[in-house]
Formats: sequence, C-alpha cells, structure tokens
Amino acid sequence: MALATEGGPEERGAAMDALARAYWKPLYTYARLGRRLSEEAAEDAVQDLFASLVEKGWLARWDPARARLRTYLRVLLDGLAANTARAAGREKRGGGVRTLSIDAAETEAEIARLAPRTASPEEIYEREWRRWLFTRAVARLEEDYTRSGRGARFALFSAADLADEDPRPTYAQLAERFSLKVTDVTNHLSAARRDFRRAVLALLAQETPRGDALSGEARALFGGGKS
Amino acid sequence: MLSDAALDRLQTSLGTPDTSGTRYRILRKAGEGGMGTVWEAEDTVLSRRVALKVLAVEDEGGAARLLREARIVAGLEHPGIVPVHDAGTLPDGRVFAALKFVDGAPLSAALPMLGGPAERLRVFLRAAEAVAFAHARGVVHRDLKPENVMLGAFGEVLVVDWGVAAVRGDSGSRAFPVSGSGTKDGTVVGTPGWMAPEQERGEISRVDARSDVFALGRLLSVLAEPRPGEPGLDRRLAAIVAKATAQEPETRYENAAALAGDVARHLEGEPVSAYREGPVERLARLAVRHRVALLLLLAYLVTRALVLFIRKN
Repeated sequence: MALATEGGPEERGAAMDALARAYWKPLYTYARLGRRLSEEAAEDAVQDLFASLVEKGWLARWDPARARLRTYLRVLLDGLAANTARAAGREKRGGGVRTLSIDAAETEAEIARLAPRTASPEEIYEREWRRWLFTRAVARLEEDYTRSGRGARFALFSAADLADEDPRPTYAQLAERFSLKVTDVTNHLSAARRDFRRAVLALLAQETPRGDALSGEARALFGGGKS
Repeated sequence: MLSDAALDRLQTSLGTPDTSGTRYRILRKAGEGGMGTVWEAEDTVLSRRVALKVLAVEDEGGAARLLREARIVAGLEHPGIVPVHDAGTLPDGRVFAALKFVDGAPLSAALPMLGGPAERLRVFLRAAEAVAFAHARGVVHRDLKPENVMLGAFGEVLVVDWGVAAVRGDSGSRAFPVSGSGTKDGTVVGTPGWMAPEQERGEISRVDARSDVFALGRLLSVLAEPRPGEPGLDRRLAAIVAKATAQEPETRYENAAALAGDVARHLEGEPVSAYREGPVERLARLAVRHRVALLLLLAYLVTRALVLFIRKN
C-alpha cells in the first residue's frame, strides 16, 4: 500500500481511503472498549485522527523502524483521546464536519454482542484489528465463491468455521447436512481454508504500507495455531 | 462481524499447516522459531513421529533458507546431527522440512539434570564431535548455543537448527549441494552472547570454523563451571576455554576437532595443547592418570619391604 503522503492528489486520496478502510473499525472499537470513551468521543477521536494524519503531517512522521503503522495509529489515538482540546480542533476543521464515513451505529450493535473484555487495551486493539481483517477476508471469499458458482462450498465453510454452533458439528454431521461424502467435506473445507488464508494474505499485502514488513505481519498471524 | 469463537477458530486454522493429501498428520505444536513453527507430526506412511518445520508464510526468502538448511543437513549424516527425511511444499503453499523427531530437551533446559564434571564434558564432546564432522565437510553452524544442542531421552546429543549455517568452499571438503553463507558482509548472524567477535561485527567473510569454536568455548565454560561441592575449575580446562574463546580467530583452535581433541585429552589425563605445564604439575597429572598402577606398585613395594624386614628379623 502506498502511503497517503506519496503521489498526486488522487493517489493520496485513494491511499487515505484504503488506510481508513483498514483501520477505522479496530480504532473505533479500541476507543470504545479499550479506552472506554463514549460513542461520540470515540467517533470524534477517530475522525480527528484521520484528519490529522495528512493535515498535521502525522503520517509523514511515522517511522517504520520504531513501530508498525498499526501501533503508531493507536498511540496517536491515545493522545487524541486524552486531549481535552479536541472539540476546538474539530471546529477548526469546519465546525465539526465529519471527513470519514463511520458506521458507528452498526459497530455499536456489534460491540454490544461481544462478551465483556478483560484483556489489556493493547490486546483488545490487536484482536479487533485481526477481527476486522478476517471479517473482510471472509466477505471477499464469499463474494468470490458466489461469483464463481461455489456458494455451497462457502456455506459449508461457514457452517464449519464461522457459525457459533455448540457443540461443533462433526464432519459426518456436515456431510449429512450438505448431502456430501465425509471425504468431500474434508476436501472442500481444506480448499476453503486455503482460499481464506490467501484472502487474508492478499488483504495484508494491500494494506501493509511500504516500510512495514509484510512477512512480519503475516508471521504474527500465521506463526502458529493453538497447541 | 465475526464472533470471538469464530475469530479463534480462524486464527487456529491459519496457524496450523494444511497437510491434507500429504503423508503427514499434525499432532501438536512443538516449538516456535524465527522463521516458523515446529510441529510434532505423524508420518502416516511409515507410522513414525517426525518434527515438521513449517514456514509461517510462503515468502521466497524464507522458503529458500529452509530448503537450504534441509539440503545442508541432508549432507551431514552423523549420529550427532538430526537427520532430515523430506522437504517440500504443503497444499497451502508453505514450505516444510520433515526431520527426525527428538524426544528430549535442549541443553539449556537439561543442564541442571546432568551429573558430575566428567559427564558434562562428555556431553560437550559429543556436541563438539558433531560440529567437527560438519567442519570437515566445510559447514559452519554459526548459531551454536545451549538451545541448539538437544539431549535425547536415551542419552543422544544432537546439534540442531542449521538454518543459518554457511558452507565454505575453501575447506577442501567434497562437493556440497549448497554453497556460500546465504548472507552478505555486514549482516549479523547468530545469537548475542554466543557469537564470536567477528560475527558480532558482521564480518561474514571472516566467519569460519573458528567462529563455531568460540561458541563451543562458551558452551564448554557453561558445562565446566563447577557446581557447589565440586572442585574449582581445572587450570588445563580453563586454558582450553580461554584458547577457544580468544578474541582473535587466529589465536583459537583451528576447528571443533582440535578443540574436542584437547577436551578428550584432558578427560584422559593427557597433556593438552592449550596449557604448558611445569614438572610438578606434570608429575601430579601423571600420578592422577596412573593412580591405579601407582597404587599397585606401592602395594608391591610395601609388601616386598615387609617380606625383607621379616626375613632379616
């Protein structure tokens, strides 16, 4: 991903859109759950952050050698959350004009469905970033499978890995439910998980800015499963 | 949005290698390294356990390094070096190497369980002999440390993790499947605290068997360090450690075989190259070395003296 500080106005605008798409939700959820800000304060902080990245040259000051971009954004948000003069800053941008399209209501409904958080604010942020990355990768996979006539495979993947069914369905149960042989369930799920992995890697490759080590990000995600 | 449970399931699925359609079945995670994860797996064709080293991501650099390591290890058939059985690419695109599964613990964890000084020196000798074999083939390990020496459940001593090993072409060794160091000058390869000074300075072209000798010397000092109740460090052994860990490579042992030779001679009570002993020390060493013969001789002389005394009286 190019940084929103490089290229012409159009390129910069597109880069900022990509940055916002990748990070607004984890940042907002972090502000609400990790920093315990009110809905309005959380949205203000996120809006201020993305406006200041270019206006105040914060993005240009990011040093990949010191922190991942993701961590840098969180630290900036921490500063904004603690800044009581934020409202004044918003007025300067044009009387509280929101530059970023944030679907706070939908995110609030999602937050309400989550179990209470006991982790540290930093862990909450990392988890929410991962949740948002995986959510979009799943959406990509569904779109791709639907377009290519493999909707049934996505339905199987969804039943096996996404749905919160308790107890978890066995492969035999899934085979019966989807009128497949157990070996076919194994093969379909294997392929779907492989494609999901590719979708995550593709998103990471798109959204990891130059300077941040993609392999480091991927290693953090794929380093190992639970033993 | 994904639920917490779905997020965890997807994370687990991403982290676990896809071995579908292969001969391997993942059993559990055995450890994590810089490049990826080591899994305890079952080779379903031969019904045996293997250690499956799998890269975290399918990047070209990492894949090349892992395959390079597999080829190096494949060329080092020695009882002190973990053999590689297989290498390739999994269905998910990740590169893997299947190695013999060692049921044991790294020396870093097993050290407190080892016995007296002689037993600890013998463990050192086994590790040094494996490294000496590699040196004879022109291979320099470059990351020797207690974590990379495994002690098996049946007393095996194995040198593992040849991921940053270099193959030196000027060693006179026979043709090797890979060559070079895989790194450029200025790159620091190794582990702080165990690296030779030339490694710490990133002088890749100066790193050779003597750099491994330095790390082995550090390992020897750890193993030889007297425990409560044990006599102080022997002067000859201290001299061996000092020679192995000299700042300048030229002052160290030429390779692991030379170092192992001195340690073996010390264990046998023979003179060592690292220490010039005085006449009294030499006599004392010989007395210790030949104490049984000396005791027998003494017993014989006492008996003879007694017999003579009795006859005279």
